[in-house]
Formats: sequence, structure tokens, C-alpha cells
Amino acid sequence: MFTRIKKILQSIGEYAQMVVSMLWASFCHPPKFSLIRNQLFDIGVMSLPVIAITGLSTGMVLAAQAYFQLSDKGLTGTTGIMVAKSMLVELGPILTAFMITGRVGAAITAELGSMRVTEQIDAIKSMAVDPLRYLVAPRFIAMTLMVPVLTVFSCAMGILGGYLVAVQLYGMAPHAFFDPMPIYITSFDLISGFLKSFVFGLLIVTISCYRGMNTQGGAAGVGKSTTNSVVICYSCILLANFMLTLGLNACYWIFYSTGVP
Amino acid sequence: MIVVEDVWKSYNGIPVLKGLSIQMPAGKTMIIVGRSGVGKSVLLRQITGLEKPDSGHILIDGQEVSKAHQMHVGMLFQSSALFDSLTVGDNVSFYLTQNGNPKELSKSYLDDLVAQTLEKVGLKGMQKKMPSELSGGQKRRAALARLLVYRPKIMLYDEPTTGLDPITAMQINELIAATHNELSATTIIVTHDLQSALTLGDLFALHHEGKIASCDTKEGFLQSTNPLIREFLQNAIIAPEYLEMIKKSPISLLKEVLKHA
Repeated sequence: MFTRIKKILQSIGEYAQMVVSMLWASFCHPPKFSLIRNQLFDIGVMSLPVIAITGLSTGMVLAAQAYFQLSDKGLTGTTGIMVAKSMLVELGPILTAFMITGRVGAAITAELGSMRVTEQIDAIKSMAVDPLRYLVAPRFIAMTLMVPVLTVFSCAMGILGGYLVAVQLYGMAPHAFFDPMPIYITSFDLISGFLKSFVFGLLIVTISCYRGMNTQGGAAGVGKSTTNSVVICYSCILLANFMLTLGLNACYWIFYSTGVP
Repeated sequence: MIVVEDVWKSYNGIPVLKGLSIQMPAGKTMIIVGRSGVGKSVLLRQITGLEKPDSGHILIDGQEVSKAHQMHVGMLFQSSALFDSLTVGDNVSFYLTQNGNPKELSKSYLDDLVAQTLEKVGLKGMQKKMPSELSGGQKRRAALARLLVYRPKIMLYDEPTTGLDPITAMQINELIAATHNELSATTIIVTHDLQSALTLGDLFALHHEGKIASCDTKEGFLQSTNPLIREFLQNAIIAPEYLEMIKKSPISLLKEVLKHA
């Protein structure tokens, strides 16, 4: 038990050390733009279809449920705002982060892990090239930039999905769907969603790279590292989401509202 | 000249190198033989600077191993360690594209250099192939080409012929010999293949239980009375001419060596 705790603490320490090195490699000694561009394409552009499907289907389900649940109470007019607010503040960032973890985070761990066990990372080092700068920094920069952008895309697709169901399927008036949005969606909601997506992006890329760079034990080790990385990412995203929600709510009461409930 | 002084290295509390000391003269080829798991590859990793010894010193031309030395050390890994995501051509030009001055390295210059180097190792016209499309022997050649392109002063080979058929192994040995002649690099070869070792080596070291048990010339090694070396030679597959050499007197042995040189 004591050994296990010691090992976990040691891993956290190594992770923190690697995050600092990652930041140094990304900003003080940035990698070539071509490497960042390739990662921007892989992480951003190649994730668009899966993010579109996730956002659209979530928005459609939200609208269908909201319209159905609220119709007998005469509150169907709130469908649009419910969909938009849910997507922007909560579901957009978290579902995007989950999809990126599965599609990109797992791939990063598997790729770096397989490079580790086949001595490719050692070969990079032996040629006086910093693997953090060559392999990790481009992914770090691309991920922290693309997750917020993909979240915006996911939210837009969610609102579109909600519109299709509420307006096209259930016959809600288009202005009733869209008009409340500028009134009830505040800049705080946008900042909140953006901040969450940024933090989730940081968590995904740092955990995935850390697990990949520290893979041991051949092909089985790569599989184990990838599974661990995905599980740890999901857990950390959920935990971070709760902490951020509490923190952001507190900030809202301090900076935007006059009274604390 | 490479000087290894009282180097200790442990993994998870288990000592692998136990006060190992050896001197490797500049421009010579040293063969390190020994049983599996005694730490031969670990020694190479210390010399390249991939790992740091727990204690002791490794001096290259009188200075401790540092990142600056890595620019002049090339290592051929047992697994070849070609970068899976890059073409053979990009693998070969990797060192220069990462460490060279982009203004001085035009694309046409790099293309020509890669083509010449690949031709030298018998892989003419294979620039566009991916490493996964190459056979084991071709991978070793491509990995050798990746080293040749930056002309290191120290060449380290970790079991360069392991897993290859005898003809391909012989071709790899010829390439190693040609590379040594071309670069006049200090060469260290870790191998179990004593037949290859005898065709390439100037000096022979037996690595036993974390230390160098013996270091001698080819003739001295073959005629050694050290029981560890005798045991090693008795169990190795050696060509008949070398078996005869072991039995012959020093004078006739010298004649044989000169004939084979």
C-alpha cells in the first residue's frame, strides 16, 4: 500500500516536472512551425467530423427532451435558450474533451509509447534533438489551441441540431428559438465554456504525452499506457469540470452578481 | 579516446554496471562481447549520454559526456529505431533538418545527400519508402545511412547483426567496416556474433557481471587463458580458420591475422 502511494506521488512529481519542461520547450524554445501545422491539422481538422456528429446529436436530443418535457407546462419557448446554454457552458466543452481524448489523446499516447518501446525516442535523443521539443511541444501547442476552437464548433453544431428538431420537426417559430439567446446568454457563459475547454485541452495533452513518454514493456505496455491515459484523462476532466464549475460560480457571484444565494 | 572510469549503474536497486572501467583508443574498433543481460547495451547508453551513470565518469577526449558530444556520437540501435512516421529519405536527413542551419541546407542539397548516402548503403532509390516497407536488413542499412549523413566521430553499434540471416549479416559487417574506413571513427560494437566480431574488431573486451573481465587484441583474445573467455569461445560459432588460429602458435597466428587483414 505504502509503495503504491509512493509510486503515485512519484508519478505526480514526474508529471509536474514534465509539464514545466513542456512549457519551456513550447514557449522558450518553440518547435518548427511545420511540426505545429501538422498537429493543428491532425488534431483540429481531422476531428471535425466526430465533433460535428457529437455536437449535432447532443443538441438534437436536448431540444427533443426540452420540448417534450416542457410542452405540458407551456414552457416550450425556453427550448432554444436551454439548448444554447447547456451546450455553451457544460455539454460543449465536456463532450468535445471526451471525444478528443478518445480520438487524439489515445493516439498520442499510443504513438509516443510505441516510439518509446522501439527506441525511436532514444534515437532522437542520440542525435542531439530534444524529444520534448520535437514530439511533445507541437502537440501541446496544437491541442491547447484547437480544443477551444473545436468546442465553439461543437456548440454551434449543437445549437443547429436543436434548431432542426425544435423548429423543423416540432414546428416552433424560428424567432422564438433564437430571440432569447442574446438576452440570456452572457459573456460569462462564453468565458466559462472557453476556460473549461482550454483547461481540458491542457489536461488531455499533458496526461497523454506523459503516459506515452513513460511507456515501458513492449506492445502490451503501449496498450496498458493508452488505456490508463484515457481513463485518467476522463477522470481528471470530470473532476476539473466540477472544480471549475464551483470556481466559476464563485467568480460570477463576486464579479457579476450583487448577492450570493 | 573514450575513458570509462568506475561506472556504476542500477535499475530498481539492481546493479547492472558494477564499477566498470575501460579505455577505448581513438580510431580503433572495439568489440564488447558477453552474455545476455550483463549490461553491454547499458554501457553504450551511458557513452551516448542517453542515461547518466549513478557514479563514475565517462570521458570523451578528456571531457565528461554532454549534449555537445551527442553531435559527434552515432548509435545504431538493435531495433534500427527508424522513425515510423517519416519516409526513409526523411529519416536519413533527420539530423541535418533538425540540427543544421536551414539557410545553408537547400532541399536539392539534402535530396542529393540523401540519395548518395542511400546508394552507399545499397538502398538506391528508396527515399520515398516507409520504414514498414523495409526488411530487417534494409532497416539496419537505412539506420546506418541516418548516421553516415552526419559523419560522427564515435560510432556505437548495438548488436548490428542480431536477427539477420548470415548473408545479410555479412553485408552489414562489410558496411560497418567501410564506414569505419571512411570516417576513421572510434567504433564500439556490442555483439554476440563472434564471427562478425572477429572480422571487424581491433580490440576485444569481455563484459562479465557488470565489469570488463578482459580487454585484449584479437590474437590475445583468441589465445587467452582466461577461463571466462575460453568458455565464451568454446560456445561460440566460429569459422574454421579462426578455430585453427586459437590453437596455433603466436607466430603462425600473426601470419594468419595478416593474411586475413
